Amino acid sequence: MTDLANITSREGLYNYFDDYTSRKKDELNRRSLEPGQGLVKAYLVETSASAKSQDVQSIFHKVGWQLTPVDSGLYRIANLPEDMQAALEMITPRYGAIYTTAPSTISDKIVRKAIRDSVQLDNVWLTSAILNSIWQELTNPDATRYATLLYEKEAHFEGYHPTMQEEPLDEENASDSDIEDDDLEPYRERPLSRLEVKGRIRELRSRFGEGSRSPLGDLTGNLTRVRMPAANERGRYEFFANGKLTDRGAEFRGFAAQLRSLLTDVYGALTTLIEDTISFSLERQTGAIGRERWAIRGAPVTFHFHEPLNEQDFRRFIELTFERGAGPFRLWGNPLWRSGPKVHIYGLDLHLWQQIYLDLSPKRFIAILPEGTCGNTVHRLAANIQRYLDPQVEIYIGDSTYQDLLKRVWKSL
Amino acid sequence: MIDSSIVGHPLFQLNLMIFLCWPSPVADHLTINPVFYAAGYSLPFIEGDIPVPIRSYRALRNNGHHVNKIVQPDLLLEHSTTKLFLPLECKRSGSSAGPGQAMGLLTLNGTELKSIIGKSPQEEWTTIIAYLSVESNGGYLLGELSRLAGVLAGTGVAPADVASLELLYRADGVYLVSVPDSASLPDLDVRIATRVLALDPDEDPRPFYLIPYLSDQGAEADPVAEECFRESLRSAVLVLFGQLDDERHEYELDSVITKGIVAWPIWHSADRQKQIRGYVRKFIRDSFADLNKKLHVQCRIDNQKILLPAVTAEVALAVRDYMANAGFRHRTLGLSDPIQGTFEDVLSTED
Repeated sequence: MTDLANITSREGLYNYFDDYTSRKKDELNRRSLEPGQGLVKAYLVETSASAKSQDVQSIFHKVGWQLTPVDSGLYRIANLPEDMQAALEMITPRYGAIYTTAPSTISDKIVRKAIRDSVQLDNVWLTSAILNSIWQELTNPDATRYATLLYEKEAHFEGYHPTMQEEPLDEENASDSDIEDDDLEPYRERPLSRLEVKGRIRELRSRFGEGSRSPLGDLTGNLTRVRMPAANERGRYEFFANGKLTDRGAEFRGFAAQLRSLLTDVYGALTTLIEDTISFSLERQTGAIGRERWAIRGAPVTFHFHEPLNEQDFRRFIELTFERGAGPFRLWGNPLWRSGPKVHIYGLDLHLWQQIYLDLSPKRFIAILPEGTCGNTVHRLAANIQRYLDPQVEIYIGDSTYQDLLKRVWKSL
Repeated sequence: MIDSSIVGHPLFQLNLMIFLCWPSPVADHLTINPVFYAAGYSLPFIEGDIPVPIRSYRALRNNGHHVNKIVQPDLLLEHSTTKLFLPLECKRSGSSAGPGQAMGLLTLNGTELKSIIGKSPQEEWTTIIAYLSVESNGGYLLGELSRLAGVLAGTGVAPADVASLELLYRADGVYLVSVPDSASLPDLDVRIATRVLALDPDEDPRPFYLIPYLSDQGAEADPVAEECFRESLRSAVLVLFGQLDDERHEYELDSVITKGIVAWPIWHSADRQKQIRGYVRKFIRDSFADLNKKLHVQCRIDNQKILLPAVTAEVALAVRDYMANAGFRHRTLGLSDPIQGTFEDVLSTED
């Protein structure tokens, strides 16, 4: 059996993963897969809008990863901790997928650390709206096959006490032990609400599809994990909010093709659309006779809460995130308190160390992204606000809803 | 208790106008109601110097009238479907409006302004000069503008149309209304006061200050705006520390300042630019000294150049952790200190 370390071409890599996936699928079918035996998984990552293909090795080198080119845009990753073997496929210089068969308990940790240590790397954030669109757009409307939807809300700022120990930032600590069946990991010790809904796709569509009104209340606003039929309908794919994908199908090529399309045609197109709409800048325009004028370009991103946040929780959010520099949002800034309460912050997004301006009140958050700040900050904010503050928040990119922009992207495919 | 005079501050008006022209949900309960955007007006422009047409300038001067040779409205909007220019001035009151600038603006009728801006000669454009002020001041301003327009017409120059808009502060928000006899704004009927900013009782009406400082053009002192200005610069400077990695980096001081003051490239006053550069240079130098002391990383600022050394991944991470750390914010470099004295004092005493 070829080892991932001996792969010398893209075709060889695909053959290797095809073969591996097929064997794992057999084990899954026989229910003989041991916990901790990794499935093929992909971690979708983003560099930056300005990244060039020649920058890739350097970006990963800064977090101690050695990339060896294998094929155009394909690298083998050496010297990872815990003998993790992995390959990186850059779909574009901006978006890539890290493939590995290592168990999630190992690979989640290693990928998370690399992203945390880098200001040039971020997760691809599959927000609730994106996950919702994936299972609805990519499955047959009349499908009688099953899908599983997981909704989550974490009361991170409710009743927060400064001495409380911080939880790790990662929201996905699931090991592969859950692959035996659809059971989900047990509740953790923090105030995390979870709802798993499993059903035939056509039934789920009528309950959760467009135009339907969710009967399950507040929690169903934030979809964080989807398990749905694979492209060839043999086995399933699983999508996580932090950009991890697991291949439980019988082959790899369809899985890779689907994730490539999702990355560039959906996520990439949406991010570009967002950046084009909201980037705050002074755009210089020169007329025919050399006269200059400057258009003040931009638009706010508005997060309108379905109910105002409890004022105490709002203050805790500001205190924890900005005064103490802690919590899951990883934002920096000195809060300028106004009456209301309202807070203005000329801040930084510490994931990418880029500027972000925030106008926050218990009723709504407004974010303004100065030119140069990456649009995926919006996806991350959306994912975090839905998870930690309000699963049903309405998100506007300029005057369009986030969902409408996403629909526009899918329609253009 | 809210100080309702905030809405008269030109910075408040300028920043509010930007939001009213930017795309955002059109609904008056969602904080900002972007009425200009909804009515089809363009993004706001900041114009370069607009020369008053020579013929108009000479006609006025020859008749003993005061007129500026160069004018620059605070903002200029366009309404492309009706081919309208809307130069806009933000004023607290009638007394803060300079007659020379007003007279100059009034010479910019549609024919003159379309030629200056470079629109097609075949197109017919009109201009409405609008002054934005606060309750009870718009009537006086409209009277003055109409009087000056009459003077202009008396010298044989066709004046632009005029409009006066007022911002009204109320407990539930800020409203926009046009003063009676103002020229009608296409597709935007504000003869009846329209809420443009929804507020809770006792909520500070200030929108986020995208442009926190009005350069050198007679800005009123405003400690809140000054604080925004400093914070904006701080965030722009701190972006630098995220760039530390295994390569050397060199940045222009002005490119860093532009990240904090978006309008920096079009500031007029060289003296004021020099002061701001001095202020930012000192802040950067202090940050670098602190970093060297704490983590032995030697960054330099050499006149207009900022130089970052190559460091290991571990050091880069340590620097970012240190800068993001709450202790750095609260104890080092006075990043959370209240501003002592006026901003003018700060600028004139540093570097």
